[in-house]
Amino acid sequence: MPETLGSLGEVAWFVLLVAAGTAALEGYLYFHLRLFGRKWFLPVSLILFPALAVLACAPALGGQAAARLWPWFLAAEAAASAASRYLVKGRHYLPFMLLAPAFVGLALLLVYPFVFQAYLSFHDLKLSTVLMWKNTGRLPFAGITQYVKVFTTSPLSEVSFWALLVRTFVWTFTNVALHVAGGFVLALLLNNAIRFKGFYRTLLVVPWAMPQVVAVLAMRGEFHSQHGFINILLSRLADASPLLERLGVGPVQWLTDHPLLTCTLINVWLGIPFMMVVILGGLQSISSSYYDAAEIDGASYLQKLRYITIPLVKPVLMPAVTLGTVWTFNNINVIYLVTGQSGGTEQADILVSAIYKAAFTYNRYSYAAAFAMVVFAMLFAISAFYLRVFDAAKDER
Amino acid sequence: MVIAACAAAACSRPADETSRAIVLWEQDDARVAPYIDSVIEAFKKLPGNSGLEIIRTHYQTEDLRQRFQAASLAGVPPDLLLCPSDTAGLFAVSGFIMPLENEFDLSRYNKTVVDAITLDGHAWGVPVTNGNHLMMFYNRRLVKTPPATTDELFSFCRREAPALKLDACMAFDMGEPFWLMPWLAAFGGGPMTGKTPTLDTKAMRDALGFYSDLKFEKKFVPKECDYNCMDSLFKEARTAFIINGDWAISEYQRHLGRDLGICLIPKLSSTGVYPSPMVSGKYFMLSSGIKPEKMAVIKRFVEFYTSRENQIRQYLELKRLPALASANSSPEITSDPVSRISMEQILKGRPMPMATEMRAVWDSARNYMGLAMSRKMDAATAAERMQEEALRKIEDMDR
Repeated sequence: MPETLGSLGEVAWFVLLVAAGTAALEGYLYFHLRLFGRKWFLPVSLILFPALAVLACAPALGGQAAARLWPWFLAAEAAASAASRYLVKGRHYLPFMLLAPAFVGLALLLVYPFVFQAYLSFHDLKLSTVLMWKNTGRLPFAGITQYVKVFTTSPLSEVSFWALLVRTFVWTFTNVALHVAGGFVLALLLNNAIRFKGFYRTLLVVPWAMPQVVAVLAMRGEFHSQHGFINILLSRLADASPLLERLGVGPVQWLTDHPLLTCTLINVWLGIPFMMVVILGGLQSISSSYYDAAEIDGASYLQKLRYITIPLVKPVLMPAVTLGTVWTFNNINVIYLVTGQSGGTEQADILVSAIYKAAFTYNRYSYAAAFAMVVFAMLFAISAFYLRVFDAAKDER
Repeated sequence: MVIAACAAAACSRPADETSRAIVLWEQDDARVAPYIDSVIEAFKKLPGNSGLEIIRTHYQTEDLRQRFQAASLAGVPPDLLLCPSDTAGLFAVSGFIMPLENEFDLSRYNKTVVDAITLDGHAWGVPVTNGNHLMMFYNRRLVKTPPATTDELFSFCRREAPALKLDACMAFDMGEPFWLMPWLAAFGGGPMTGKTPTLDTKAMRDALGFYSDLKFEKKFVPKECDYNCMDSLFKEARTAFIINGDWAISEYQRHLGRDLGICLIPKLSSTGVYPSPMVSGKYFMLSSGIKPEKMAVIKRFVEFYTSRENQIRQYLELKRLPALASANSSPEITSDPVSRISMEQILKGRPMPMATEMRAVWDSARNYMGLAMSRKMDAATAAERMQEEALRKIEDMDR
C-alpha cells in the first residue's frame, strides 16, 4: 500500500510539474503577446525573466554556474522581447499560446533525441570511449566514418547490409499488403447489414486491442512444433487426407526453419484489425446515393468496388498505409519476441533489430546512431513518396 | 527559457537519495524479493542504522544492464547492483563500477566465484551466491537410478522411456550456447583462451555433432524447445530429465516435491570426461559514482548481507549455495544432499569468463548453432564461421 501511494504521488508530482511548466510558458507568452505595448514592458522583461531563469537553474547547476548563464538569458530575452514588440505585435496570439505547449513537448521528446542522435552519428561512442565521455563530456569526432561503416559492414554475421535492406523491404511490403487486403475484405464484410455486426467487429479487433507482448507470445506458442495449434491442425489434415500428406502438408518447425515467415504470419494477424477499422470508417462515410445511382446504371459488384469504393476509401487508406509502412519497417517487437529475447538466430533480423543488436549487444552507439539516421532517411523518403502519390491522386479527382 | 530552467530544476537528483539512503537495483526472480527485503529490514534494525533507507528496485536482466549504463552516463546511478557476473566486464571497462579488492576481504569467499568476477587483475564484485551453474534434474517417479554416463542415459532413453509415453526423454535449451558449454568442455574445448575466442576446434565440431545426433538421429530431445518449453515439459512430467541451472532448484522442489532428483550432468562416455558447466554467481557491484560519505554504510550492508548466518539462511530459503567459504562447511549445508550434489557439480565447472569479448562469442555461437541445428549448415562450417564472426565482432567493438 505505501508503495502504491508512493507511485501515485510520483505521478501526481509529475503532472503538477507539467502543469506548472505549461502555466509558466503561457504566462510568459501572455506577457509578450498581450502586454508588449506597455511602457514598462521592455525594462520589466529584461530584468525579470533572465533573473527568474538564473534562479530556476541555480539548484541544478549551482549558483555560480547559473550566474554565468545570465548574459545568455539576457540576450535571449532581449531577442524575444524585441520580436514580440516590433515583429509579432500581438498578432495570432491565441494560436501561438495554444500551440506552444505542444511545440515545447515535441521539442523535448522528439527534436532533442533526434539532434543528439545526429551528434552521436558523427562521433565515436562505443565501449572504449564511454569512460572518456563520462569524464570529459567529449567524444572523438568521426566525420562520416560511421555512415560508411553502415553500408560496408553489417552488425549480423551472415547477412550483409544490402541483403538486410532487401529482407526488410520484403518484410514491410508483404506485411502491409496483407494487412490492407485482409482489412479490406473484413471491412467489406462488416459493412453489410449482417446480424451481430458489433460482436464480430469487437472480436476482430481483439488482437489489436490486446497488449502486443501478450498477443505475440500467445501466437508464438501456437507455432510450437509439437504443441502449437498450427502444427496440430496440419497433422490432423495430413492424417485425414493422404493426398495432402503426399503434397507435403504436415508439421513444420516454424521457429527453427522459418522464423521470418512465422514473424510475418503473426504480424499479419496483429495488423489486420487496424486496417479493418480504418477502412470500415472510410466505407461508412461513402454516401449510399453513389451505389444507388450505379445500381440504376446496371453496374456490377466489381464495377462498384472499382469505380466507387476504392477511390472513395483512398483518402483514409493512404495515411493508414503510410503509417503501417513506417510501423512495420520499424517493428522490432514481433521479431524480438518471436525469435528469442536473448538474441535469437539472425534468420529473422531486419534493419531495426540489427540496429538494436549493434547498440545494446555490442555497445556501438555511434554506429547504431548512424544506422538509425539512414533508416530515418529511408522512411522519410518512403513517406514523402506516399504523400506525393496521395496528393497526385487527390488532384486527379 | 523559463521552461528550460524549470526542467533543469526538476531534473536535479530526487531528495531521497541522500547519504542515509542506499539505492539497490537487482534482477532476481520475484520469489527472491521477500528474502532480499527481509535482509534489508534486519540490517536497518541494527544499531546505528536508524533512519537509513534502502530502496530496492527490480529490473529484468537486460533492462538492468541498459538502465544502469544510461543512469551512469547521466550521473545518477544506483549505489549497488545485485546481479550475475555476465555484465560486470562491460561495466568495468566503461568505468561504471569500482574495483573492490581493496575494499573487502575477498579471501573469505570461494576462489572460483571470485575468479569469475576478476578481470585484468581486479575483482569487480562481492559474491553473494556460488553457482549459477547447470546441473541435471530428473523425475524420480520416472527414473529409478540417475545415469552416471551418457551411455546409461541413452540406454534409458532407448529402452525404458518409450514405455513412459513421454514427449521427450530429456530436454534442455539447445538454442542457447550456455547449455552447449558443458558438452564443449567434455569434448576438450572451451569458448575462450584469455580474451581470444576458441570456437573453430575439433571439440566444437564434436559438440555440435553430439547435439545434432541427439536431435535428429537418436531423437531423445524435442525438435524445437526453448527455456520455457523445457521447463514446462519437466514440471508436467512429460520429460524424464532436464538440464537446468541451480536457480530452478526451489521451483522444481515446489512442483515435484519428493519426486525431484538431482544429479551431475552425466560423464560423456565417448571421452570419459565430465561436462563442465560455467560457474559464476550473483554479486554485489558498487557504482563508481558512490558518494564517499555513503561508502561506510554500503560496506557494512554488503558485509551483513554476505555474513555467515545470512548465507546459510539464503541456502535454507532459496537453495542457493553460499559464496562465503565458512558458510559452505556449515552442517546445515553439508547435510543436505541437494547442496552436496550442487557443490559437486560446481567443482566440475569452470569460471564464466567476464571479458566483454564473451558477448561476441555468445552471439556468434548462438547464430551458428541455430544454423547447424536446423541443418542449414554442417558442423565444421558452423564452427569455422562462428570463430570468424566472433573475431570480427570483437574487432568491430574495438574499432
